Amino acid sequence: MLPIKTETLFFELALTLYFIATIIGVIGLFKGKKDTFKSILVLAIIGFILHTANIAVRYIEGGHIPITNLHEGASFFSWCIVVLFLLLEYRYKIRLLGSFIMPIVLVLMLSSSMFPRGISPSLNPVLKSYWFGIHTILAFLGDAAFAMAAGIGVMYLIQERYVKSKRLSGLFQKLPSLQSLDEINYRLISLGFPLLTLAIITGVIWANTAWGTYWRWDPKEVWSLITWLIYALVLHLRLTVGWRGKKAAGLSIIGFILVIFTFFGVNLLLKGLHAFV
Amino acid sequence: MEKEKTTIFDKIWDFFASVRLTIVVFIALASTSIIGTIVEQRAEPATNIKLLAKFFGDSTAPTVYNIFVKLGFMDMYHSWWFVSLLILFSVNLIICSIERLPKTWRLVKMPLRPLNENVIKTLPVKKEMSIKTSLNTAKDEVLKSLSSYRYHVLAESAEENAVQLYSQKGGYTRLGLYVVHLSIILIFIGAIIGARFGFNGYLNLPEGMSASYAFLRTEPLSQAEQAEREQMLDIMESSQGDVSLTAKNLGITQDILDAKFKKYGIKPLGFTIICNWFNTEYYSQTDMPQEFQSELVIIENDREVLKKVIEVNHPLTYKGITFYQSSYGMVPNAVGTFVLKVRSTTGAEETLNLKFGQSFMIPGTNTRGTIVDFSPALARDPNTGKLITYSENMVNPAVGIEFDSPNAGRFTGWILKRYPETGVLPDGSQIKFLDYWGVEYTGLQVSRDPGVWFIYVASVIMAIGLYVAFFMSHKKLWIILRPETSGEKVSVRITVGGSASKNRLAFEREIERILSKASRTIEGLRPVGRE
Repeated sequence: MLPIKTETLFFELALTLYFIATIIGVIGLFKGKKDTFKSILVLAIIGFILHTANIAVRYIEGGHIPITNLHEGASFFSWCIVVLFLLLEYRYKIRLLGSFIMPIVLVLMLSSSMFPRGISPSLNPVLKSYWFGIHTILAFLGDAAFAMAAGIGVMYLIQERYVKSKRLSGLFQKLPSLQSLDEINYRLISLGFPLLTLAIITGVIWANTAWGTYWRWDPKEVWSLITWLIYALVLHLRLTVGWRGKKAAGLSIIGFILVIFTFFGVNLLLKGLHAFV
Repeated sequence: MEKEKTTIFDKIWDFFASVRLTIVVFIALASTSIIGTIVEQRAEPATNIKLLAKFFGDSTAPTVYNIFVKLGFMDMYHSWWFVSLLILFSVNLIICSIERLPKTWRLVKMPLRPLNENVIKTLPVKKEMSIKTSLNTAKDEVLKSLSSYRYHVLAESAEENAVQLYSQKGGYTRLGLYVVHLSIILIFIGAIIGARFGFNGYLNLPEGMSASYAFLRTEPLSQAEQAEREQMLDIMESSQGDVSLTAKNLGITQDILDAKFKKYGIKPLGFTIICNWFNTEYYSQTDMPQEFQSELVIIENDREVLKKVIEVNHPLTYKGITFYQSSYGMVPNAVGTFVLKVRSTTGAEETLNLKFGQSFMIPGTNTRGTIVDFSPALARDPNTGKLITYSENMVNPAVGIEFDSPNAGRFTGWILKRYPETGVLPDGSQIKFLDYWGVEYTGLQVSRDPGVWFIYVASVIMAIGLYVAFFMSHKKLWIILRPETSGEKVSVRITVGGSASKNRLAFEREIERILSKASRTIEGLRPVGRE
């Protein structure tokens, strides 16, 4: 028998639980009972505990926050989304939120599982700075908030179709009202935007101590600036022109696509200073 | 009514004050920025022609490249049109803020007035409850609860059979977004100061060498120009970095010298910097650098004024100029010095500086060592078993020493810097290979940016502004206390209405807490008619 490393086991188990939660969540959209969301929540919590164990083991073995390759990065990203999902569920108790968030988590975890998984105790000298933790955690939390906003955006668009077609049964009853969805979407963007800004600011300070220039226009920097501009646009459109509801929901989905590109696309397609591994 | 005249000035003002412009500029900045992440910036033409050939084919790629060059795509973030967009962005930001600030200021300063009960019931946040108590008790408790939540009731109005309390807090939080806007302008000012008064250069300084200048990027130079540049640098070094002395020694005026410095990308530092040594540490058993360090010394007026070991993330700053450890490499054709530490079996230690081919005696013995070989990166070929040099860089330096001992005879051994155990001789004495000094250079990023403090201050201001703008709000509330009598029982109906500039849900919870706090302190109370 091949020896399986404990952290790998934790990862696979978390992935499996997230997978089951996604399946139940999607089925629950069409013919779930009222308490479907409870089983999603339980699965997500157990998955989250295992996922945390995986990250903790990698942290101890590597001696630094495990985010130095795409496997670790994608895994940590989905971990942040689950943290935020559980917090939001606790705070607002939005039924069926899991049906929209767990698929995002699952896709990220699946892509994480496809990248090489080596734990590297050797850290590029540039990364050896306390800004490493601060900068990256802010960025991941901001991105997680944007992921949640996109999930809520999808919920909004679906709910909006029900309201328009006046089919006020089934899924319509399970989804939160348009007004609360819109408000939570806005709350999440107004959480993600300051976090993204702080991530950029800390990146600027770090770059200045490491390289002697705070802004080099490298692809990762530019793409986060693009993401920042788009979310700034979303906020300005909402506050001055009054783009709420459907348009805001649509924009939050577009914004998240940019986030994903900044995360994966820049690393895989474009080269730059952030390509450390 | 008199019709307002619209002058050209008004029209321009309106153009720059419009949110539509903001939206257009946002989208323009975001979408054009993409170009610079695909086309490699400030790269050799061949790199990008190769890239373009993938999209446009080999034959048209050079033409497309030339068009791109004309459009400024090869250094697009500094091109005239991108800079214009940034200027447009700032002008729009400033004018929009000036346009809206007075209105916001009025909202901040507007005194609160009592409202009609019907109006209160239409406010975004409303709560109603009834408490069995007297009007005065109810009023006292509500006031206490309000002030514990930092709502200071400045005024109350007595109406017929009722009392109205009203309060607001966080009016100034409406200014948060202006603070954020201000910080963005400060960042632009910082960037302009940096570009105008700062510089960003580099210096590759070999171990043991000194320089009183850094290099800036220049256009490609011809051979004759390069020769002149070398000559200038030599004279500058012999003039100990003194610019006026350099000009005198070159027989030119300082103005001409400055112009030549600019053309050749030479930035005089005003002092001299020496690299004492450079060292790389590796993660054990791997060739991954863990840390690279240089010891730098600053010399001014023939005096050592500063000495520091720098490493990545830990630069050295002197007179506003900062030296960052950024890279390293080998000096071509350099002859270095072997630094060995010899320890005999009796414990006597000696540090030796030797050239290639030189011999030394191990203290207390008759064993003689001679340096006969060197490899910057020694390894055993896994296939042939032979020793090979696998890199030109000093990844795993090893010195080959031939020993001649009366007892053991003549033998040759390799001593590896990273593996001190390789230096233990059969008789127990040890030779440590400390360094092959003088063959590596330290790659320094040299920059001065007087604008960076603006950036730092602006960052703090922005963080504060964002917090205020997103997590605090201007909240207003009105409370009507109306005594009711039904039969024997006396009770007070409390009607609350409020509005918040943002985050209505949180405000709603706050009002609930204020009311429940008041009602809990009044005995025997029971909320009625919650909506």
